[in-house]
Amino acid sequence: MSLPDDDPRPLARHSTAREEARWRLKLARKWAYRLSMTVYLPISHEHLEEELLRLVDTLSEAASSEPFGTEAAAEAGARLVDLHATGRSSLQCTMEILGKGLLARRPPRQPERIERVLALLSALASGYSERLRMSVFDQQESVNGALIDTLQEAGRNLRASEAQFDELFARSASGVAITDLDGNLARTNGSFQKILDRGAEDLSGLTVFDLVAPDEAESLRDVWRDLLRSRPRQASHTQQWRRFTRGDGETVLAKLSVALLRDGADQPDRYVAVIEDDTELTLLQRRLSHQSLHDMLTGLPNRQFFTSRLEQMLRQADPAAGVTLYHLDLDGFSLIADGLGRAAGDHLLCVVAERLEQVVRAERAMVARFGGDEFAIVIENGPETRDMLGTVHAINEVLAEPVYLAEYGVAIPASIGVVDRPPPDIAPDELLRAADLTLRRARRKGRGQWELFDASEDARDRTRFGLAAQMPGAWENGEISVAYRPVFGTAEGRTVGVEAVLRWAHDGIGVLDHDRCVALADETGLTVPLGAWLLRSACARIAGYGQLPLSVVLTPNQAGDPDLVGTVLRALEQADMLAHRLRLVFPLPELVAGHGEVLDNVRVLTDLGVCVVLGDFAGGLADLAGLEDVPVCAVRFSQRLVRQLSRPAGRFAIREELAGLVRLMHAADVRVVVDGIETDEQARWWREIGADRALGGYFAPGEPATDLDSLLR
Amino acid sequence: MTDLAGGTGPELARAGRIRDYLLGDGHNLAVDRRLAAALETAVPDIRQVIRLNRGFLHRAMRSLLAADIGQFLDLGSSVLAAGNVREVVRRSGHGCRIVHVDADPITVRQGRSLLNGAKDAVVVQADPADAGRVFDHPDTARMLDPGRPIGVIMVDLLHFVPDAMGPAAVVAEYRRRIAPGSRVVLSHFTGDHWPTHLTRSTVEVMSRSGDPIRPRSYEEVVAMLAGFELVEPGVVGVGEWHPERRLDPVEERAAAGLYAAVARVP
Repeated sequence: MSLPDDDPRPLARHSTAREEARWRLKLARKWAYRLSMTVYLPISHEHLEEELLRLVDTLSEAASSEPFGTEAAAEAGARLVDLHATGRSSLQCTMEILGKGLLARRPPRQPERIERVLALLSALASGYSERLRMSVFDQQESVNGALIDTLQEAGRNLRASEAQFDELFARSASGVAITDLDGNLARTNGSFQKILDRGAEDLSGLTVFDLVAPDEAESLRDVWRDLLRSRPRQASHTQQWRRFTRGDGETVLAKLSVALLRDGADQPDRYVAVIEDDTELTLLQRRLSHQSLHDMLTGLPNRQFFTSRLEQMLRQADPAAGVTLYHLDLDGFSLIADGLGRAAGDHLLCVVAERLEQVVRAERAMVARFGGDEFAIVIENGPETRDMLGTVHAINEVLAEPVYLAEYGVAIPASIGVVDRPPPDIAPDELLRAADLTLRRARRKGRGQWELFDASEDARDRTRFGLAAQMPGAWENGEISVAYRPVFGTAEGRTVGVEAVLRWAHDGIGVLDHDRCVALADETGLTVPLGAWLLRSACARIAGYGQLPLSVVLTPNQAGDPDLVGTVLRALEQADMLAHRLRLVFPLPELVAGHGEVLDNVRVLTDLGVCVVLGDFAGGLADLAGLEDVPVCAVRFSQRLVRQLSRPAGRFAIREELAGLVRLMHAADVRVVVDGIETDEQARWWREIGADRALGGYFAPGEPATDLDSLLR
Repeated sequence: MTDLAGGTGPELARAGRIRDYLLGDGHNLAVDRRLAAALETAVPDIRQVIRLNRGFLHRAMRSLLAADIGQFLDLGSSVLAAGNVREVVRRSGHGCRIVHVDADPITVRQGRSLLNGAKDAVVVQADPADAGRVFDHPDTARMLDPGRPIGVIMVDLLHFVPDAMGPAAVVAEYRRRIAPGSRVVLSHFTGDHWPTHLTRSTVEVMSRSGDPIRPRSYEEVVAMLAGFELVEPGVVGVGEWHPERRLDPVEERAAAGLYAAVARVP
């Protein structure tokens, strides 16, 4: 290895400029080489040589410049620091190289030259030291600043986590206790005190082992000891169920989690014990889940729960035996609830629930309350199961036993719809719907009836309910229209008025008459708006026919509609028709029952000049008595009565009675109307008796006409 | 207990700050300087070793820049030290993006204040041996395009990775995440050529720091670069990797303590 000459040969006193340059380059190279061994210089070696040559030039010129100055040398020293020539021996190396080099260049016998070189090197050393000092100060400031920031942040985190812990400790719904290594309670939070029903002062001086049931104390001590034996950084916590003794002496089951905490030196320091009062929690959870699946009043499963269980039972049941579904509706429950109050009604429902459960106690069965007075029972049929009929009787039997409500013994029968052994793959919703339709059929038969699901009945019912569902659309599409029946004046011998009726020209089924329309509208609550529309349309149509009277039969809903008067007034006003031309037929039961709204409607309408007709009159004395105060202007015999009297000869002198009744009516200035006259004989009979007005197929064969003019011609 | 990166607090000396002191800089704490002094007593040539390692970093960086690598992942070689990756890049006049990764929160803080919001570089605080954590860091994701070659600087890193973590696995994890054409620059402490007592003393002194060091053999270092193409002259002593000048005997002895290599992802 060839190293640059360690000891540059002194140059001739009168060297040329070129020699001078070569000398300086040589010095710079040597300096660069030696310096680069003292420290890492983050520039290429070539670059370093260039930098140092510049410094050699500066110093050489400063040595011989006039006037003499050392500023440039001080700057050169600082520059060395900038180049990162900051190794431990970098300055020493520099002084050696430059000292020898600069002094060798000129003979040392020139004292002035020696002085100048020493002064320059001193200045360089000062400049170097000062820059290095400042640089180290900066660097130290930076590192210390970073250190302080880091520690402060760590401190802040520590304080934040302490604050968080305090917050957590205080607010936690879980009970938290901190104990020393012997289990002495050092600190407990509010939840801990609450769960154990002990105040902070009760707890002070106690150990955690004093808080558990006495027979568990020793095993809990073992837990504390086991944790203590665990190694640092090993999992040192445990979770288990424990029975704690509350302040009131009660035992509470709670989930206990214990962790051993260590100090900074990894030494066991204390324990944290967390208890969750699980009894309360589980109870709450159970209750919530129970609430969503059970009826709150009776505690029976609700429809939702029942439906999901139904699916399960259909799947699980022996396919040969299957399941049987009973859908029950208490007859007249609303009468009892209204009459005896809600509490009595609730009590009754609870008794029913209990009794129904009793009926199926021995079975794999479920009883549910669907809401209101509806119940359902599903039985998974087994070899011991009563047959369907037997079960129905059993249900009727338990319900027939009177329940005592406010001293009244009440027996409440139920209508029952039964679906026996449906196919196992039937959808639960479908099954419930079938049961519901069957129940409705049972109800139509009267109180305390039961009905077995019948596929053809079901199809009919479905048509009916299907039609009801279609009705609003049909009305909107104009399929439902207003038709008219002639009202025949028996004395006049001609049509003296018309009755407006509904008519539905159904696409698939054909024409549905007024009664059918009203029945269907009843299913969907459409009677009131449809009735109002009928009234409005008919008034508008009739208005232009002079004094021609218009009859409209009201449904029970309409009769009691609080807005009936408004509806009538609007119809008359829009049609510009006088009130006295309108005859409104009120259904008798509503009128006689004397419900406030109906009577109010009748009075106001009478005051307005509307003629109120009592419909469905069968001539009973009780009905008559009820009419004393009702200002009707006519009564209308029911079609049923008219039909029954089609054979006038009989045991009772009905004809005479009726004639007397008519006379009575006339005496009271009440006219008599009959509906359902189909034959000439009937027509004559009623005329002779004295009926004033008559309607029926005899006067207008076929369906009611939409063409009014043809009726009046 | 306050936990600073890697479970070491400021009471523990860190290799990066010891290196800083031995490079003649002041970004260090008394605890670092005390351990540096102990290290120098045990290994008198330690400053040479560190200097030569920095020189290798400088030369390797220039070779990467010459190969048109424009983004660098600097794993623990310090953003603060003279001649750091960013400084080399800046002097080269290339516009590059650099992510410095350091586990020491103090160094990270200093680095961030030094960068002073520079757009071309960030300091990410993470364990440089955890490639997943490093690449998943939002700053890394923001700065580096993994679709283009990256220069991954592992100078003075892998000998601080314990055997249990598998330094080869660490390198492999990085290789998996970088595009073909990427380079890895590494240097690694070795006892292959040093007197045993020097190697042992180095290990002993550094075991008192937060960064215990492990010497590894030539074969082990070569194995770390499995799946790479070695750039000439392969795995060599730190002074032999494209030296700018010939080394003197003292330097040669020091340089024998470190292997150096640059490798390319094929």
